[in-house]
Amino acid sequence: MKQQRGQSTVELVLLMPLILVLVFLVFEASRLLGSWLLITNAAREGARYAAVQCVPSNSAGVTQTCSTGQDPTSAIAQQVQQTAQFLTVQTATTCTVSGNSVTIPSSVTSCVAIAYTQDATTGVGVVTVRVAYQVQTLMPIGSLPFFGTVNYPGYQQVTGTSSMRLEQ
Amino acid sequence: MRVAVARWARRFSADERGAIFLIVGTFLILLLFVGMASDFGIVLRHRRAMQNACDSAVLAGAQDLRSTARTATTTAQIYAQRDLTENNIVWDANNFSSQTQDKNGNASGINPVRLSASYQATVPLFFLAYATSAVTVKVQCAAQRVPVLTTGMRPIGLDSAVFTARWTAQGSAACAIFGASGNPNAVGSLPCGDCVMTFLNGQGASSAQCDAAAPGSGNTGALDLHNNPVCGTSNGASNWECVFESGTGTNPAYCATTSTSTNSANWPACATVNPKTGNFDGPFKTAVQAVCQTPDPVSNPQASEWVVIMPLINSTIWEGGISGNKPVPIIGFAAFELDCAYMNAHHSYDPIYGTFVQILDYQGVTGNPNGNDTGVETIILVQ
Repeated sequence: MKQQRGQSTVELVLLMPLILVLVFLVFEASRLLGSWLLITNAAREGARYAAVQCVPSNSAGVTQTCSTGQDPTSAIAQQVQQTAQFLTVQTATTCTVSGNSVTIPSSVTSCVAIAYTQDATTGVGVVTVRVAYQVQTLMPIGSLPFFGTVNYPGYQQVTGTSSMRLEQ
Repeated sequence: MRVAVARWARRFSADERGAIFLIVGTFLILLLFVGMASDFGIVLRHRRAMQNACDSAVLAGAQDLRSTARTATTTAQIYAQRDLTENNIVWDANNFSSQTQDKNGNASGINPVRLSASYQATVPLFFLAYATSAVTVKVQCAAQRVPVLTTGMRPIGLDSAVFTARWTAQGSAACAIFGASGNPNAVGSLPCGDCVMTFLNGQGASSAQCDAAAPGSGNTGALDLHNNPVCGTSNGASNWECVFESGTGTNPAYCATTSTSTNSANWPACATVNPKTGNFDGPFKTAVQAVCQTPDPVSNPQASEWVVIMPLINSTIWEGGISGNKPVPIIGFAAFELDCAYMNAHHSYDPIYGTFVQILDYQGVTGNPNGNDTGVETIILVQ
């Protein structure tokens, strides 16, 4: 029992999991923040595109301004896809939106929701683009403040929302 | 000395007391960095979301800089609140401020072209809560109306559906434009009565900027643009208000002499147009007042600014003290956006404030300050 050789190795082994958890926590948080920035930027670019260039007809009383033969929803979704760059945003299925919370349908891992509304106060058209994306986590981490909640183990959902006034 | 240091180092390396203390210390420092990274991320996340909301707000608000129905700053606040709420950031109206500015960034009530805003929020911290419980994050942003130059745009009809929509939906009105004598850079000017004013595309202008060399009253009345069934067949200055609100009709037939030399499908082949004699200072102002006090030009909340379409005529015809009226050729058009918001706020339509938002070369006008390009305005984010 008087032998002290290898003591620090044992201590290191004991502490290593904790250190690793900390390191990975920073790693995962950074990945989430990075993804959130990309998704938010994509949502903003999609909304800007919709507000300036591509408004479908009969939404908020506006006549269509998209290019002829272009489906507004897919054009906006395509803009979102292109802006998100490294993250592959799936646009086949629309998100389920309830209030400010966005849910990804179980069949896919990312989604886009586009909504046109008429602002009650100013009476003008507003486009809201919501993008939700599941970031695959390397460690099973729980709910993080502001980033969203766990959908199922191994994933964290990031959501980007952007509203713009239609420029007509 | 060197021996002493070496001895100390040897002893230190052999001494295992306090090893746990070192490990725990290292661990705590690591924990501190984790906390800093996490909190910094939260602050970044707030700042990005706030910046997005601010940008969205000024882009929306800048559309109402000339609106008679809404105030730009109010609209900006509504959109800032909307975007922040959607992104789960606490909204507090007291932390939002916005103001309209002129193109140089100075607070201005006349011809505002820029809307700037700022928002600040207190971001709560978690790991660093022992040092400071919260930090204040502030974002600023501004949006400005700028002319967009589009080369090769055809005069009327253009390639732009927007302009056509404004022509028909917002009503077109006619106001003869005369050249400013002695100013080689000016194609035309805006006479309201015997006032002559030079213009530049995208710049604010008012009828107070009169040229001393303006033609006198009696010879410089309005162009006799008419043929709108609503207003009768001979409007001129006598029924200016109606022409303003109803437009000159989509197919005006008021040519003094016709010609087939014009190049626009939407403008009748018209070599010259008869002017009306007299000073139409009064009717013009009455018309502007009537227009500006219409809260919603076309019952369309999307469009709440009044754009007046003005024909451009050759200035040289009016120079040299001509007597009596004389048919003049229309050589181009200018779109003049009335600054109704300002004029309404001050209950004064003398002088008339506005901005030339589009100048259209028509029949090879020379001396256009912007060359052959014509411009439309758009809204962009600025620093």
